[in-house]
Amino acid sequence: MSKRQVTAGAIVALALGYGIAASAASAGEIKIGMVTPVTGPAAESGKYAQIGAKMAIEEINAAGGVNGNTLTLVIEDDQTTNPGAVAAFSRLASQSDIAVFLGSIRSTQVDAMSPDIMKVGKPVFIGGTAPQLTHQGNQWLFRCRPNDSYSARVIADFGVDTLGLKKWAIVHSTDAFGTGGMNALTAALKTHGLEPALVQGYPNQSPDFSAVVLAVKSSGADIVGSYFTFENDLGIFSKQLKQFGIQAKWVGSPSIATATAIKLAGPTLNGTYGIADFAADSSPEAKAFSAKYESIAHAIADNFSSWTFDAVHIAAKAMADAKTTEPAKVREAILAIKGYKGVEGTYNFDQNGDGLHGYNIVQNEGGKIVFSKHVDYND
Amino acid sequence: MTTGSSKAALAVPLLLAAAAASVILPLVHPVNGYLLNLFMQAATYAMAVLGLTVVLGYAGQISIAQAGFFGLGAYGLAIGTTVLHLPFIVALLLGVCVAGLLGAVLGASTLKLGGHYLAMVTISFQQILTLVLTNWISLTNGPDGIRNIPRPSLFGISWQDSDRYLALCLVVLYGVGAFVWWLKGTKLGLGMQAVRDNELAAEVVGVDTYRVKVTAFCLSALLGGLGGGLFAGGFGYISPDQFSFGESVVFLTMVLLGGADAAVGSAVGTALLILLPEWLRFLKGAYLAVYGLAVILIMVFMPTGLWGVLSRLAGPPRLRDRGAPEVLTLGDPEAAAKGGLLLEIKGLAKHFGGLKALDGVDISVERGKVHALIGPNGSGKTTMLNVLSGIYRPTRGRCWSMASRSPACRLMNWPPPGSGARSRTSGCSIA
Amino acid sequence: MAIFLQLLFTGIGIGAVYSLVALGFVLIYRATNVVNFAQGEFAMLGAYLMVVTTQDLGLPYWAAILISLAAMGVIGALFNLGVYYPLRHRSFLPVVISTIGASILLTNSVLVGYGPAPESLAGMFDFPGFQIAGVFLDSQYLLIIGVTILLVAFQYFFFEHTLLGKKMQATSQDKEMASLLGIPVARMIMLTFIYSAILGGLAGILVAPILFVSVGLGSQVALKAFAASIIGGFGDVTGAIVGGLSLGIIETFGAAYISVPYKDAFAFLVLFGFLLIRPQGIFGEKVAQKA
Repeated sequence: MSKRQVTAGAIVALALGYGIAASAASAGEIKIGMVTPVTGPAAESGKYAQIGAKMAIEEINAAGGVNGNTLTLVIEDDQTTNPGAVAAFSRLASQSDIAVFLGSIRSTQVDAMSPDIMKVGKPVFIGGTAPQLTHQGNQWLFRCRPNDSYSARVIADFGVDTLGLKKWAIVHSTDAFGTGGMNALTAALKTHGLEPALVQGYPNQSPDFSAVVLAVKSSGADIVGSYFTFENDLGIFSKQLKQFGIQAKWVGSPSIATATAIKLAGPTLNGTYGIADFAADSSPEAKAFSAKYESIAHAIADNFSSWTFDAVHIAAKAMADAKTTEPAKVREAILAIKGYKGVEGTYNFDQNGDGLHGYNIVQNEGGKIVFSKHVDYND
Repeated sequence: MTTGSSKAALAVPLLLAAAAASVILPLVHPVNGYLLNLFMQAATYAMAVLGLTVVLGYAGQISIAQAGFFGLGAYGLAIGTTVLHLPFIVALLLGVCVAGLLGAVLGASTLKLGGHYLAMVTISFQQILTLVLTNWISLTNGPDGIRNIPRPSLFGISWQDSDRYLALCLVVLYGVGAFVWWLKGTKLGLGMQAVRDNELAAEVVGVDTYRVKVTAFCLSALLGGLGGGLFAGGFGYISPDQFSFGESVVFLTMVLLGGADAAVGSAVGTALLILLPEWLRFLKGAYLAVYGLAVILIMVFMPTGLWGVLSRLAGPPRLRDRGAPEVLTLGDPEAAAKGGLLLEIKGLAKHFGGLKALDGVDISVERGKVHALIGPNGSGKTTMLNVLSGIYRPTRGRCWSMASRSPACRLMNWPPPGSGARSRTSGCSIA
Repeated sequence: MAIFLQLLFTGIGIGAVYSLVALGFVLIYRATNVVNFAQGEFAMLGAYLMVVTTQDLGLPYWAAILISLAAMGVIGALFNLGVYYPLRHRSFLPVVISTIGASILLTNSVLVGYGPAPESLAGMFDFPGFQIAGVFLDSQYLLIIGVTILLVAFQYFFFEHTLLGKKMQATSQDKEMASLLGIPVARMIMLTFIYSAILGGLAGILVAPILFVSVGLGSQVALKAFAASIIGGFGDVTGAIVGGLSLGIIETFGAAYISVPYKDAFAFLVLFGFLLIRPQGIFGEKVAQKA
């Protein structure tokens, strides 16, 4: 009797699943599926990502759509977890009329979704920066942000060549992003013939960074290179750096230059440098995007919204170039895109699916993020 | 487990049919990938939750570390297949054994602890495990996780396809479910329930409560590890953040929601808590808040869990009609005729500091006879019984016993018994 | 030497944070024999209430604190009615799960209502701190330590020397006996929850300038605070303080001299050790079962 009830429940769930999955696209419509955090710790960034994507869709539809069809966005919540991302993606994947997908900015979630992406065989645009994502043999991943091998090289080159500082302390989060960044930065410093004086990891959501800051002090480093995942941690670290009188220069991963970081850490971030995949003043396209974004979202544009904006435009361009939504042809069209001026930078897709190969350098001048220059690599 | 015999005869074939149907259905009729993923997650989670049924529902011991054992099984499988290149089954067993071993270790900590102290030990264990999984990068690949975990190829058939893998998981789940259901009525299972209901009484009656508790933890960890290993094969990618304290809480909520002491209840609770967030997707941002509220409401209004509610709907268990109760005789005249001592104690003393509650008591307990212990208030009758039951350690005394498992004699000095040391005496024949 | 002193100060500072939250745990536990897994969320709510009153409503700092703490009292009362009271006769596990559910509910309600962006909260003082002999003393940490000392003194006075305090103590020691003596037990428990919520909210308000205001603020501290109260001796107020300070110091020194990524592990290893060897903690009563 009992198992019958469970089986009955399972049949109901199956029916429900079929019912929900059965909503078909109306004629003249192309659907883009988006896996994004609506709940969970990254919900804030998910909100911005949605705004970026929707902005692009409105622009495209206003200009006549793609091949005469209007674009619509289908959103699924990944709950900021790996199983959540897989569930969200497979839920979208079961809708056969979705042509392309916007995936996650978190590399571990992309890894989790990867088997299902291969199965579905349609283009997925991602924002995760772990370099290995595009080197794992998954031909359906297209990256709309420069990966961390480039970010590390920019940090190292800028610090050593431009600032002329050779004694490095690397401070990084122990999560996947931080560890990957640390590895890339150590390798980049090695090409300059340098060994870091200190490599210090920390666990996310630490309430105190005394031990880390004192380690930096004892190492005698004159420059800090960092990969911080969360602005909370960055804020506490930044304050303590100043309190303990550390004079070293600081070049950080993008989290150092976000609006949230400035709000939390305030004047302690003055004079620090950051590498940013998105900088409002880096190009006319970025400026225009930034102004329009601010009017809609009432917040400063950042890299959560810029890459989804670019991804939608690139998807639309590829589908228009290929004159179809057939996956293999769209894929070829994406790889053929060269010199496309997006807001993150100029896209030249390589055979691995990486579209961008450089970063912007920005500086925090008295609380304002000022664009310094853009660095691109040819490989 | 008190269904009438006629109901049982009907229920078993129905259950088997339903189980078989649920396994065959996805193989025959194509089901979309989203649902396959969902059910596969539900099936593997249910195995871990069944482990909690054993340790929490049956034995009454709190474990908020089940996600840790789940993770150990998952990592055992993942490392075994991707790094050590072991066959799937061997790697699965590796994960399960590691989990079981650590489960026994955790169970060993129950010697002195119970209640929320035990809860804290399990939480600490869980937290330390998560930190090790995240930071021991050379072993576990750290926060990047392990990818490309293969699915097995058994008996010449490939289980690569999701529908086949789901069928495999379901078969294992039903096997585990049957095992847990059967366990309830075994000596071990009854011992666990005795420990849950009243540990002291269980100890007095002769249940080795410590061994029972360690076994319960070990079994629970084994099942958690089994679920975790199959989960890893199912999703193909695992990372440490999937096996954290939060997930342990989810497992615990599933078992409480379903009804802790029923194997079926666990399955129901798991299914509900995995499907519930999916059904609540339409609530978008607010769904986790509603989830939290739902947990509170369920705890308040459904104390025996969903299964408790459902089985009550099916009506109260039918009492077997055994006719008029027979009149029991006091003592056992046949055995008394045979004669013989069961227990003999000389010079028993029990001092509480300066207070001498018992001071040189002799007692002989004969087979089949009724003995009465009488005395004025404060003369030491309860103390005597507590010593004989092993609750108090006597200060002095010698004891001979025909029962090799009498707790008091375990503690005191005694020469080996005379002729025919037999199996245990039950406590009530001393009174 | 300066480094040692700096670490000591920071360790005591963060330890005082744990102590404040642990006090809330201990009070509710003593009164109801229940561990409140939503205690951290009280801190988070207090911090958010301050953000709302100072930034959204623009009230002056002192008025904002008073209003926020009053609101926390109301929340404590509602918490008692909704989460603890219906389950008061049940075993402790359903109540614990219920408090966990409450923690999820509170966290996500704030997330829905206020949004996920972390906020900053101004500290009590404008200047950041003092530099003495190579050691930087953060002014907010000094405030936290000061408040903790005051609070301990206040609690000692209240519980030992006022009638209401003694009634609450009686309730926590033996509910039945207290009820027989004419003490309104349900009301005492309600007061305990209200006070504990206010205490939690105050902890949040004091901590937020350092740790920032985000929905995860509660869980960041709560588990450690719980561990601290067990180390100190569960059910003992002095134990909560000593346990919190010890944990803060162990964590900070462990991070500096052994390993930063594993620093959370030290706290739990110490807890593990205590639970195995001396479960009653430093100050607690022996854990025993009566025959």
